[in-house]
Amino acid sequence: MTQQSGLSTFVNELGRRRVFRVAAFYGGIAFVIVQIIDGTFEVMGIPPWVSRLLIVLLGLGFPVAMGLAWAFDITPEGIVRTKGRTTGKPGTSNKALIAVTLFAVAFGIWGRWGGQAGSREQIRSIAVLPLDNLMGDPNQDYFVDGMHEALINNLSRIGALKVISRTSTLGYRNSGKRMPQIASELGVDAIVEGSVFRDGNRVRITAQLIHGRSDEHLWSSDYERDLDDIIALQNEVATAIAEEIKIAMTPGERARLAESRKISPEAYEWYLRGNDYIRNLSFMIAGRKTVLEQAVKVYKQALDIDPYFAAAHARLSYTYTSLYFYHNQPPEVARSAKTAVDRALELDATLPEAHLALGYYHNLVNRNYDEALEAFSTARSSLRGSSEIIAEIAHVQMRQGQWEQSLDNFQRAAELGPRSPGIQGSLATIYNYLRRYTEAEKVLHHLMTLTPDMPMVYANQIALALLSGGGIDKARKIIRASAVYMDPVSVMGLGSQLIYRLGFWRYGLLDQSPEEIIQTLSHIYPQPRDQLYYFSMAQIHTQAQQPEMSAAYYDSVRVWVENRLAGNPDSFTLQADLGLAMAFLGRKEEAIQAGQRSKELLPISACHW
Amino acid sequence: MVMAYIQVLCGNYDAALDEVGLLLSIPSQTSMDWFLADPIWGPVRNHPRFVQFLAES
Repeated sequence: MTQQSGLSTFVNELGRRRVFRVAAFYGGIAFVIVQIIDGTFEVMGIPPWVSRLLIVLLGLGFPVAMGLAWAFDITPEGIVRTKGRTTGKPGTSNKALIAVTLFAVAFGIWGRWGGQAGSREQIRSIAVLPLDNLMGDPNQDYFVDGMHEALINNLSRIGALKVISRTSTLGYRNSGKRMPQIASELGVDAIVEGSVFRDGNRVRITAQLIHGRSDEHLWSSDYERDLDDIIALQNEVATAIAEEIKIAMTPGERARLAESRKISPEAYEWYLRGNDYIRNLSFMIAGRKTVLEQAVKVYKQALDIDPYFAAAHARLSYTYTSLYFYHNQPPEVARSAKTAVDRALELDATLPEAHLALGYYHNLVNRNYDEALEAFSTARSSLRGSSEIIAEIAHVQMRQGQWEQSLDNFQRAAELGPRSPGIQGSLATIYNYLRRYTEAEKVLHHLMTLTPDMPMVYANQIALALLSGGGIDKARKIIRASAVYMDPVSVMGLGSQLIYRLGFWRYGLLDQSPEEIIQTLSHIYPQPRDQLYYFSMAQIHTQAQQPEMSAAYYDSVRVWVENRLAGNPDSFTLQADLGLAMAFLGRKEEAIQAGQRSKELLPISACHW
Repeated sequence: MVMAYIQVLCGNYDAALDEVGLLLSIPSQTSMDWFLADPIWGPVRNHPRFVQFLAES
């Protein structure tokens, strides 16, 4: 007998014993059960392992049902053993039946966990999208955003997990994009979505995990606690996600995520409001000083209520450091930054935010780059996946002239912050320094697609055009392109933040008349005016061929700077500003003297950037 | 960078070009294209050292 006729006999025998009918019936019932599991178990809060167990049992039940169908038959007399065929080789048919059913089971299991969501066990990268505010009150956004930031920070403690930076996820708030697209754009295996609801002192966080490639809903759960237990609540959500994706955690990481200290709800709310101010600084130039001063006030309110709140001391220190560095504040502001960070470390020597604040202090205030690197490295040992810390390390290395290491770290930070304007902008800047203009162009093009409404992106592009030989014509095209989203005047002065104090006014890039530009700048520039405003006005008047007015504004720069130098004579930036103003005023000796003093205070050998 | 600008504005062209030479020899946000495009550097464009920098760039 040929093999073909043997197979035909076996198939006929399957039909005679009603195996096909039972298989179809079993398959139909199993399909319905799986649909019920998928659709209802998560909603009912049934743990995921229950649904997994049921599906495994359904799979294992299939060969048993086939065996029973082969061996028995339902007749009017009851269940009887099926009579064997009078011809053929029953032993061969039985072996074939076992092989077919085992294959079917294996195929089914692969289809469930191998084919559709095969990388479930391999989730090593994750993005937490902005959480939904379920309170219906936009005034609570600061609270919801604070929970979002805390969740990302907590997941960033896990060294084996790649966690996308907060700023890179912000663009996906109500984006309407499908999960596979978001996962692909951010380069992650899975996405966390969620919401926050708060009723009085009770806070509930809902989180759900979605497989990036397949869009499969992997897990979801609710967590609820009192506000004074918010640290435990945040840790609980992060730990649940980590356990769900089975990511490896060190004992130290586990211990940090198991913390459950109580906090003062009122102090914590002030702290979150302070963080909200800082978070929204971004590339804000106009009004940034006011925002920082507001942040100082609310952090102090938090500390009035709870003087032992280490994280609030740390953030307060960072705020003072920013005020000192970016806004030429007197030395007592720098001393306040140091006092606050010392207190934070005294209260909690393991707090990564405190080491981060210490790093900022050393980097921006006393310019001790070795100390800054040490502090940032300590912070990173606890927050291994923080793109912010990696970028700060890169900034310090840039100042030290460690260009290769700096670029390496900026690239790493950019992977974690693929849509973070700050990190991508810094990456473009280091490419500019290294004169790798093609790569800078690529980064800025990417940044433009992400944030076409951000003035700093256009300022960066203009700088790149002038550095790379694109010239004034290309710069003019860029400034015209910006007009779709903003008043181009808001872009022009930003060059002073990028390269040096003068901005781009002298290139005559704008289509407006000098009178129109002056009117717009006067309108959009915040009060009180500072030296950058006076530099801008001086140059615009030069363009308007009004030398007397131009000189008057340069003199305003001089007065503004000298007033601040009286309290802070060792500020290299103030000395540099004074030197430039004096040079434009034709007071050459004083210009050179101030310029030399600036160089002595911060020689290139001490700071390459 | 600022010192280069102070020197060129003060008419100290050799000192300004010393600064330019230093800036071009290290990673920095400068290039000969940058100095060529900037009107402040107009007075030194025909200076032999500036021309030499240009030829070397």
